[in-house]
Amino acid sequence: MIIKSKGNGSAPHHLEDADLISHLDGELEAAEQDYARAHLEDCWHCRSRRQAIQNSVESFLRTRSQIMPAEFPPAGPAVAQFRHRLAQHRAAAVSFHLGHWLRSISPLRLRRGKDRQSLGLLWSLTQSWTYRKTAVASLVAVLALVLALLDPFKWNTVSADELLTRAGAYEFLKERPSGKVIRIKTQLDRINLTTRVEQNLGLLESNEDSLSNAVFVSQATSNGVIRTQAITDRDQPGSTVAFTSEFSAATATYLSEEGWLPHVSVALYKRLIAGRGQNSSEGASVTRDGSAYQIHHAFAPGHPSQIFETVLKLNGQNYAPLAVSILTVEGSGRFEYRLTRTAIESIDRTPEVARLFERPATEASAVARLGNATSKPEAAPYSATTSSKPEMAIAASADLEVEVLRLLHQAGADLGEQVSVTREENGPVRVNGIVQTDQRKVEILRALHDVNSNPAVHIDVKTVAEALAARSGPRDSSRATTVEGVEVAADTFPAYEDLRARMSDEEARVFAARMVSRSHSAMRHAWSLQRLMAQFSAKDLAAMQTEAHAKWIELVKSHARAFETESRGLREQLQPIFGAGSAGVTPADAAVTNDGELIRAVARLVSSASTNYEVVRSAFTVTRERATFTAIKSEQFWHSMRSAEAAAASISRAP
Amino acid sequence: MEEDLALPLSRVFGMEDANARRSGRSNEELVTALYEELRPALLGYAYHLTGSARESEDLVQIAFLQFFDQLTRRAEIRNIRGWIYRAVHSLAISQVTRSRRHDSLIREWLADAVTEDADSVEEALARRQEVENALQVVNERERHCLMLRAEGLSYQEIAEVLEISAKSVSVYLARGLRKFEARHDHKE
Repeated sequence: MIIKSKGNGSAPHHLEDADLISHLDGELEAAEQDYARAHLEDCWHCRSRRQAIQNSVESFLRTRSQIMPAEFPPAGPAVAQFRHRLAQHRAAAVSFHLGHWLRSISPLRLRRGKDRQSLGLLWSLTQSWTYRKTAVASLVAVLALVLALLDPFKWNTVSADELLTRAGAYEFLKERPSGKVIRIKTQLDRINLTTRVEQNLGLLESNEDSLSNAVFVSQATSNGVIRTQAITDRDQPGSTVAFTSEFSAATATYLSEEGWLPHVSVALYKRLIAGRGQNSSEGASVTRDGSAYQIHHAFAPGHPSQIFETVLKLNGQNYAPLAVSILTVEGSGRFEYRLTRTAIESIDRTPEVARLFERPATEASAVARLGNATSKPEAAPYSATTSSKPEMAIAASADLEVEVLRLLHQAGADLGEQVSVTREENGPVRVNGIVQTDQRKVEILRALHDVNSNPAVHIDVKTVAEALAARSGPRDSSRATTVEGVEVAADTFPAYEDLRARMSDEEARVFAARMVSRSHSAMRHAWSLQRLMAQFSAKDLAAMQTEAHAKWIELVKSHARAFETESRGLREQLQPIFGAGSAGVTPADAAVTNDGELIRAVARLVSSASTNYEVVRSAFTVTRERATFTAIKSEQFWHSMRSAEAAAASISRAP
Repeated sequence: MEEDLALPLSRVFGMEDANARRSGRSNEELVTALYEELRPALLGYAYHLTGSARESEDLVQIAFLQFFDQLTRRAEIRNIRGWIYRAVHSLAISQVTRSRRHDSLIREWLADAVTEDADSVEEALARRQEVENALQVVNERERHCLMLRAEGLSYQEIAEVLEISAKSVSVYLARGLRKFEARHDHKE
């Protein structure tokens, strides 16, 4: 180009800008390059223009660097995400190709365009042996391909843990877009495994907020009852209690302790199996159901929840969760509670939608919001008896008080709910409580049924709605504003970096949430112990009958045991990560032989437990100020963890 | 298929490296390795076109999924890097034209960029606008040529991405630089 443009005369033809830049970039052909070099040696004009071009390249690069972000997100997570996407993509591509191929070898297709087509399929197959051979060969090839690509044998060997991880990743990446509200609809059925009778238990719709821990749940049971509740923190154990009432009492207790909601989600499924009393891979297996995977998790034999197995069903191609089954033994019968996802959608988080998550979600307001007036017939007989009971000053004994406490304990109503038991000097035992839902109120009243008719027991249990309605004056509006201060989700908790060294971002967050929840659950037992101690004076205890005293001790021991289990579980999960240097010596705790020693042991337990709770909370919760969290790695913390367990062990060995 | 791959991969990685990479590796691993290698540069280019780090990440991945399809279909790709840049380019262009969300993209960019410093949103917005203006003097094709060249692509590769001739690449580059410089001088 340059050579061609060279004139004949002596006046040099200058290089064009395009040639100069090509020359700088080494993009000219050899002959052109030589010419350009020679010309530049001779020509000041072109040399200075080349310099100008070089300068503008530099200034362009500077400008360019200003509009580029300083750095892009790290490669690690992106590559992991890409791998996952590629695996999914390949699976989808394989099924498409197979379908295409199968269609292409079908007899009708083979005969298309032939005049003998009208004679029919049979004739065409018998007459055209070559086509049949082609078809058979193709079929064999397809089968070989299926075996090679889909590798069904290898599929069966995919571990349950691996599948759960993939499903968790799918759910996290695909089904939880940030800034949206995820609405999932689930159908709940109960199947009697002996008679195969199926019973529909209703529908549940959950709206999960991606910007906070809130979830708004509405449930329509088969008998027409509609329950709605906004749960501000779905990680809070027991927060989901209202929605597990379709299960037997034992199962429901377990489910609500794990903070499980009856809808189909991998994250919730992990919660469901967290307390099954087996190690992660123990009793876990994978089966295929058509194109879907089923992950089975066996529960420890005789598990208090009555659950013997849970099943998570996943889409075989993209690992989307499809259904969850909970298999239980209730008496002599075996049941399957099957939750099937009927719909999932992500909706914009408009102010109107966000209002769903505001608390308190009282029954009244929630029902009004739905525009659906539904009464709770089951609550009626109990509320009648509570309000109409005549006030009589009849002295109750400490023994009766213990019995009331025991009944409440059975209903799980002595763990941090606003239910208090008091006994006046020469007066009755008063049970006062405010609970979240009608359902819970009914449960508590049902549990107290045996003492309900006792004139020395006064029971006053209200729902939040009733309590608010009973209050004169306008509704307390200050509570509604408390949800405004939503933490920035991008912020991390102090121990985040330490966890990230070992696990993915999602796993780290889940781990942290579980640790806080576990620690909280241990603490609730510690508080219950403290309340039980404060409930009776030394004089009361001394005057108590043997049977009542034994009941009281049994209550104390049951909380101590529960505390010990939670606390040890917590320690065992934390130790590999944070307790590297701690000596594994469990301090001996004084034996408990009498009430005085018991009271002191509980005091030691509560004191250690409170410290531990604070340490765990500060390490794993998101705070605005960067709190230091060295405490969790300190020898004192590990000592304190063990001391609390030792105290709990002494208490549970009390005679 | 192995044979088909030998030449282009060697262009990307160098011959020995390409052989080492290919030995005993599945297409998935190959594509993933290539993705890891080219991701930073492609993100830069995609970011320039879309203005959004998040979307860039997404469409770079999609481009590699398309590349994987090409491999499984045994399609002949003579220049892998050029091919992938073209895939990213056309994905980004269709993305931008489909959703004219330039304003919101700038805001997203601000959310990414303005975090720690005392830099106010207005300042950052103004600076971004200034730079945008500086680039606006060159037309789209010239800008694409400049950006791709800055990423280190050869004229032939740029020509493939933009589906123009290699010769015209140099013309666009020269013209773009001249306009850019003229504006620059004027400003100073």
